[in-house]
Amino acid sequence: MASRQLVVWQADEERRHGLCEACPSLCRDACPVADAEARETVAPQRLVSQARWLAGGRLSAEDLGDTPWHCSDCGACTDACHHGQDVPSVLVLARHRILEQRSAPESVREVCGNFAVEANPYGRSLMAPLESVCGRTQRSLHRQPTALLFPGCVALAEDVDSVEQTTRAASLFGDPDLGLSPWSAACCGAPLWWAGDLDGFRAHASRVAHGLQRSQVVVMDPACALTMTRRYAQVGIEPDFSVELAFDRLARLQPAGPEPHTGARLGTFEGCAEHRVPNRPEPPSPSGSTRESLGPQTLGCCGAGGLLPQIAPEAAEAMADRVVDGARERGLDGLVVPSVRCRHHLRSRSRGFPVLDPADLWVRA
Amino acid sequence: MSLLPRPPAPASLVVDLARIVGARNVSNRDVDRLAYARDGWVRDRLGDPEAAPAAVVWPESPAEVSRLLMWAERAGVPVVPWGTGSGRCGAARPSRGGVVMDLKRLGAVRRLDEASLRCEAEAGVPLTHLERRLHRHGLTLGHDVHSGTVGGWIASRRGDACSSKYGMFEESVFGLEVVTPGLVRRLFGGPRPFDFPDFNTFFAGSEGTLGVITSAELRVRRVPASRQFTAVRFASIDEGAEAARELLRAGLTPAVARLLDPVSTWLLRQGSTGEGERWLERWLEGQLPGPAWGTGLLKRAARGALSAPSMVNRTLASLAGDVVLLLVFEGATGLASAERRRAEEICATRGGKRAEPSLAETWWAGRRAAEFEQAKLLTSGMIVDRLETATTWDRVLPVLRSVRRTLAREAVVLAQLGEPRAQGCAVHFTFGLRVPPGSQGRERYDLVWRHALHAVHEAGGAIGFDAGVGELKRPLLEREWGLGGMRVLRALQATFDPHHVMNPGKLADPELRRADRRWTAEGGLPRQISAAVGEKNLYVRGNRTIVRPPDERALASLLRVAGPRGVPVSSDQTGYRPRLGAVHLDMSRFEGVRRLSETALFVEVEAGVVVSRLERLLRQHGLTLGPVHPRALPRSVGSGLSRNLLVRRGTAWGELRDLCIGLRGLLADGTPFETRTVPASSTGPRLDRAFVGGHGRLGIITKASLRVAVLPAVRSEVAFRFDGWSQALTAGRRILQRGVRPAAGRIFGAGSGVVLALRLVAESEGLHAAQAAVVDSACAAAGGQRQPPEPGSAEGGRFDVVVEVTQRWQAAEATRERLAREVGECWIDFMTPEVITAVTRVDSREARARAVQVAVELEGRVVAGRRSFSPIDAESYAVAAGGYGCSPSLLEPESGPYVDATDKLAGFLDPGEVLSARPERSVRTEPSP
Repeated sequence: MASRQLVVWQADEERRHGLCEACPSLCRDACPVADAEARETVAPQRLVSQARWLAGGRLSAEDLGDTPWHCSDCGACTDACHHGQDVPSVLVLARHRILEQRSAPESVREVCGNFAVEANPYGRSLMAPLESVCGRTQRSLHRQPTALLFPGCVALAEDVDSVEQTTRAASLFGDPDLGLSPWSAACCGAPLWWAGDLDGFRAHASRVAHGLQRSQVVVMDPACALTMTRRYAQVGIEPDFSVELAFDRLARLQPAGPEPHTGARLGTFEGCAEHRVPNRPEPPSPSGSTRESLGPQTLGCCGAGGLLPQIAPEAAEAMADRVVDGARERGLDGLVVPSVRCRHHLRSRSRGFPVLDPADLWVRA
Repeated sequence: MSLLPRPPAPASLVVDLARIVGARNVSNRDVDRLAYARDGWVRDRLGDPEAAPAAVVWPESPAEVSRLLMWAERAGVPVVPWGTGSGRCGAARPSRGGVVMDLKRLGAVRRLDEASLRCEAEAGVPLTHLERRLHRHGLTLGHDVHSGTVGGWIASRRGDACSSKYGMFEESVFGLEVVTPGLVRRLFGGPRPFDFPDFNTFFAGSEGTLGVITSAELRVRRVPASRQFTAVRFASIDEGAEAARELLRAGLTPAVARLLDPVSTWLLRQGSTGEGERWLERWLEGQLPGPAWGTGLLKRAARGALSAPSMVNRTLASLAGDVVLLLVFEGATGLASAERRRAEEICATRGGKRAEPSLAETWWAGRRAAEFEQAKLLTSGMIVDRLETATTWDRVLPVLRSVRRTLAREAVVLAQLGEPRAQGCAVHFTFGLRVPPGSQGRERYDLVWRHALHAVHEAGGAIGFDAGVGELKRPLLEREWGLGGMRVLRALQATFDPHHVMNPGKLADPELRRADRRWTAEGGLPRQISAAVGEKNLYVRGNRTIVRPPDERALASLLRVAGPRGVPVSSDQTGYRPRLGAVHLDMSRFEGVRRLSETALFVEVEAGVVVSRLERLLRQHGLTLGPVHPRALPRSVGSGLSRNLLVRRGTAWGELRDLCIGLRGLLADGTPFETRTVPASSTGPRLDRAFVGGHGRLGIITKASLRVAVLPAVRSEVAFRFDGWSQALTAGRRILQRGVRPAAGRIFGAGSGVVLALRLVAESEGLHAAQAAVVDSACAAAGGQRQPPEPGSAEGGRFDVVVEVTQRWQAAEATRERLAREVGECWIDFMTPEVITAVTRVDSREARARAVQVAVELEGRVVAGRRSFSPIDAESYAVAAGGYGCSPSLLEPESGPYVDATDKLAGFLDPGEVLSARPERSVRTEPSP
């Protein structure tokens, strides 16, 4: 039973539900999904109320439909709330209940099904793209590199060039420790968490944590970092490896001196997950850069997180449009997006607006 | 589903709605209905929802809203407009089912005008998002917004912690676009509406009962250059209140001024925010002040004590400690610090001692935190709610004590004074009580609220200050408004929403039927009239019958007799030519100055008092109405108010339209109408606006409470000469937008140059110097040369033969230039940070017509001087009223929105056409004052 595996936060569920019963709902205006959908139904406070009624048996899974999945896991609600209510986690429990009642939406079931096949949300092996990167960068897969590059499923499946450029940038900056291993083709399991398949997530997390043990993991997708550092612990897996963002590592290692001045006005868009990864160095922007740093507080969430692009593609697209429009409105010529997940999503909606990979910029420079 | 008390809408209804908004934008799913079943009313958290909509729709445009309302009218389905459901009184609760109309897809900021400091935003824009967007342009709403939408805050007349300086949210509204069943209307207000009641003020506070606000033009401000915090300790709440009153009396405008009671003060010192919820929560954790509580008693004991609130209240009362007044000043650096220094001086003379300014900063930083504590309490079987009221200074402490006394046995009560104005302030109560589970909890909640509201009402407070009426305060509405007020409210609802589909169950339930017109004047005066007023009060001069009613009772009986007999009645408040055979009322016996409150700075006068006489009287007491419009001076108070002329010329003592804060009058059938004299209220719409600016069509004013100000100790006139109009206008705009508030100001041509003349007033030298410094620097930057002012030049000019046109700042120069070229001498007057008034002298009917034409072409508004311009066809009327901005097919076919609505409203309030019998629309003459 899942209930035995889940740790403190599940026992705390009732109290957490209670916190959202009467409050000034500052989360409502903070939530980018509620804003994009312009619906009260998906406002964080209402979602928690629904979760509470579901837990109390007052609402059925059929009644709720796919509503609990209308979340991009950006954490804006948590930041707005004086209790620091972790709405995404409360919702995961609700989703878990719905999955147990076998009434999850089709796209959620598909994600879970794909994990059953290939341990990633795409349902196909990601070894081939990883090997192609090795081929192109003339590297081989190490069994246990000192620092293991963990591109994440989105990078390997959707943007394999970025993996290549990150590897190249690491070589350029004299980072011989960073290497690839067969575990680099793994998925951290975040989609299972988002789907609400807690049993599956725990099993997956346990496997990944075992595979990565004692290494220094350098991740390209901040969502992976967040999952490994926070979510694993929530299901009782204490990882014994350290996690660092590839962007942070490269920014740290890059030779001192200003970036080449291209004449373009660029802004760095930090995804929501990056903000929540613990123990990050300050500041994340490349040294000597005059680049404007635009966090989710400024431009909003791009909508790539959670299962939102699968569940509510229109909302996810509207959120990406807002980020791009916001950047345009600020007179920027392009956005540098360190998060591979956000970058991939934003590129699909950028309509010609440059959405750039920092590693790529470094390599070209 | 067992959770919702009503079934979902049938499929046929959903299909109907989908035809209008598209299938994706309508839902009858339970999960959606549940999300819209309750707003922020804490009572609804005590158990399952008691209300639910049948369906939810998300329209995207005013046109869709309009079609939805037409459909609702045909189908007889209630419609509840919805923002974010952040209201605390249950106003957005769909208690009679129907369709909830979520307006958040109307989410565009249509226009941002940085020069004239205004923006037009659609109703569904969340205020926090709007504020963020304004910040990017260096602008702010000024209001302390945290939740809710533009439409929601206007519809419920919300206020906020910063309303001392920026007013209630509705006071920042210039104009509205509203949709009533079948119509899109564009209503524009301004510093002063003209021939009709200002309908914006009816929609503000209407809580969705009149129609749907779809867009609003809002005032914005520049982000203040500095924000200064200070805190002062006082020995008692009486002393603190006295000091706060003194500050506002001195003309200071703190952005925030809060006086905390001893317990809240203690909490604030502990680093908490000083609000009750936080306090109660700490108490449950066993951290109460005092040795016995703080260390000994456990959580359970504390909880048990809540069952005996009277004991707790006594304990609290015994914890005597000092109180603290928190002040925040913001604005141009020099002005804000001058205000802060003066505030500290005044407090010191009132026995205040300096406290750590960080207290104010702590409070400001944590002002939201307290509301979050409510949830924790709720789960412990307790409820905490807030009641706020506003009243004049003379009644503040009685209200405070009365509510405390009433609730002492039922709840633990904490209080704060806040949002002071020169006339009064708001009192915020936080009360906590234990509630039994289930329906008993709701019964207890209702009971406690009923007692509290009665206590507020009896002590003279308004039952709502900044949160609206909703279902929570509805039972007390009739008490506050009286019979006359309820009639006006019902008539408004019947006018705009004849089939009663708009948010039914809120405010009043309209039952009025519009009677057939009964006007039958056959000549000769019914004998009953002389019986009603007495022979000796009746004069016949030629073919005119004049009645001088000795008092309001006689006037009421005259109206009661006149109505059924079809005798029209006119007075000096009537703004149109009365019908033949009308009885003319001579209001000269309404000449009493009933009350002059030097504490709360208002004067209660009868309608017949001549304004100039009143001003002379006030000056004997060191008070003044302020520089009122020159046209108002020879008139009576009633006549000035009914024409909306009782406005000031400069912003020194507040807005240009806010002189009247309380009113008494008679409706056409003699029913008395009275509004409470309070500094601010959110109890439904501002119904007194049916009289103010109503040209006597909807009722006769008999008495009014007017704001007064202390005659300033320091006053000066300054004048600067500029080479051209654009430099002078730039200087004038900067001066006002940086926060200088002159008593009067004028820009006029003199020889080859242009002169900007201002009259600056202040209570102290320091405040005056700070204003003068801003004026000097702004004028110098625009190339102005200081010159010796001619006495009175800031106020000069004759106003008997002029046309006045209000205009935004950036169109000021063009408007003045064309008026000067095509009409005659023209100057700029009545300047505010957002608008100017171009005043042009006219010497003929043709010149008048040309002036109106220019105003219409340049999208200005003619606010005075059109009455003998004839004939006014309906079209130019409508355009002069602000123009239409919507798809033509939805507009009213023939008449302007004001004309039509006033006619309808008059039809309900005065079916016998006693007051509103107008012979022809086109001919207007002005009876001699």
